[in-house]
Amino acid sequence: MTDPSEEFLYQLTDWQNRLFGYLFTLLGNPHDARDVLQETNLVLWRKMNEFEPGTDFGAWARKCAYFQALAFLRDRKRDRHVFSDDVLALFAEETPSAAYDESELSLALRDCLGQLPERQRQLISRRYRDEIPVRQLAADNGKKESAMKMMLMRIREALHTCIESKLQEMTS
Amino acid sequence: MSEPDYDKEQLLALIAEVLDGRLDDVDRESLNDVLRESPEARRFYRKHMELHARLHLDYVGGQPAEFMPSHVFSRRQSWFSRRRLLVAAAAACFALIVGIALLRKPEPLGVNREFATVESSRAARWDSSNLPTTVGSRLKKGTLRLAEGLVTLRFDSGAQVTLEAPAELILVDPMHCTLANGIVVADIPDSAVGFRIATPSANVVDYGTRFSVIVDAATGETHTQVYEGLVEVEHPQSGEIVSLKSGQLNSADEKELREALDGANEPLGSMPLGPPMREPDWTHLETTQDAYIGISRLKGKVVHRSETLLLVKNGIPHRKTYLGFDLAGIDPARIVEAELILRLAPTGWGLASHVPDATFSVSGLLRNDLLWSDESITEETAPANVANQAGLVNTEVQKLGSFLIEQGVQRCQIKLQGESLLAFVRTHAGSNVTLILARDTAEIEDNGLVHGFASRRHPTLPAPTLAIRLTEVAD
Repeated sequence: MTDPSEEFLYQLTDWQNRLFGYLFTLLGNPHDARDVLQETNLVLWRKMNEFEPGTDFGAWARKCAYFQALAFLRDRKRDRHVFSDDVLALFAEETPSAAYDESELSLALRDCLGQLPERQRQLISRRYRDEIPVRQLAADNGKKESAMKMMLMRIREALHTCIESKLQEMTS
Repeated sequence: MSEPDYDKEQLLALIAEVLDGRLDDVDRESLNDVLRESPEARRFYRKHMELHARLHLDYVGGQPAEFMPSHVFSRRQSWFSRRRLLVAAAAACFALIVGIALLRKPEPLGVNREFATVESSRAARWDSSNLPTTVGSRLKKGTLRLAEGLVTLRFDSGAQVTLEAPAELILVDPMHCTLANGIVVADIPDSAVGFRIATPSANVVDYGTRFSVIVDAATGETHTQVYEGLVEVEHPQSGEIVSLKSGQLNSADEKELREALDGANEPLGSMPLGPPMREPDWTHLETTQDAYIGISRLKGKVVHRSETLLLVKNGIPHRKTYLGFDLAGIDPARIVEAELILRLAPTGWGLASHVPDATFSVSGLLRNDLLWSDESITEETAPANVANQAGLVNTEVQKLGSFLIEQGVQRCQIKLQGESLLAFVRTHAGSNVTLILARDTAEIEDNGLVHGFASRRHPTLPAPTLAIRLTEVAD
């Protein structure tokens, strides 16, 4: 892969989900994260010439995403913010290790989702595909809201563990 | 792993508020405080949010898939060619990129990967298994058949599963196994929440807990009992689900899933009894009376656990076994050796995992005139018994010896000899004698294994036997 634009496109594609996850962490909701990701993509595209193949694309893209997030928050009313600026900065400073290939991660997630018991998979799908609030899910299932939160949290934990172990399988 | 330096439950609750878009000012302040103080909390937060984001993308996002040629992501390609093609595809449609959750039906991964370890093994004897069985072995997908003993496996997810013989367990992946028959006790840490044990009649799904599953080899019936936490038992045939909390149990067969029952500390099922043991070539006196005390009551009703086995348990209820031998007409002076022979057989009650290596004591009743019969003996009337306790009245008995049964052993022949037994038999020959069998070792947790010794009513195994060797009649 010697063509710089090819490398750039590969990296940008590869980093989409992780950038989304990063922005989601900073902003706390998928809609804002998506908007800011699109802004970020445009900025990265415009700055493509500044990118040197072989350097850390992720770090560069994250920094760019962070500034876009700050700009986005400045334009918003204060009460929509999840984080104060200093906590946002802490998140920006701490770079999680991105040792895994994006497509492997995606594959691992799908595999792990497939392993969930039907009932749990349905819960996850209702929560994420249909975007039904926890409160509603709890009511539909005749559970307390706190119990439903806990259940979703546990499923996410289980998924996370499963994904980590799959990724280790793939890289070992 | 060290304790986190933040309140995990609080943080989880706050995360849930963020995700639901319902974070108020007070919550916001708490969340910022927690995350400002603890890098560990930030890591935890990030981990949760990233997974949430990924789930969101996987379900809601992934629009580029429609614009990328579908053959690009055919399932059989290697990682490398997939990567290269991804680049080409990306170049073709950059303007539309927002996410790449593309691969709808991945191949199952790691068919030959190892994902569990044989952690420990007690008195184990294996039937043909297609997996290694020595302690420390790494296990992949396959079947384990345990003929005797107790074996603990640890899955890489953190789930700990103890298999009690006889049992057949199929390992599927780090979060999933199938119990074809037998007993497993599962201990599931938070890391393995969602761990699933499938059986012929149910899917037992864990939510962070300790529980046991028993599958009857003959009927395929599943008995699930929860000691701590929460599990859900799914019935694949009907799609019904029953939740079991701490202390609850239920059962399922192919036709139906039964409701949760509260509180029984005891029975889970009945396992088949073993083949008869060989007898040594001695002169045998079998019991003329034998019985166990410590009858359990379930909802006020007396429940007889076994007609054919003499049960011993050091837990609630405390079960002791009384053995009566008729030594009338035997001349004490002629006795040169004495041996008590017992046959241990599986009772099917309780869990071997909850009882460590166990020591049993045999005591002799000092008075011969305290009459009891196996028909009428009770906790209260049994001679020298301290009712509802593990002990005996020390002044009324003499300890004759003790023996050890290793954890997990449920079938063996026990022979007890020694000077004390010989002296006792000599002293009391010529009349009835009573021996009392009790387990000194208490169970570690409720619902520990009940040990059972064949009684004189056992259809195949010999009764408890006092074997004695007599010298030639002297003139």
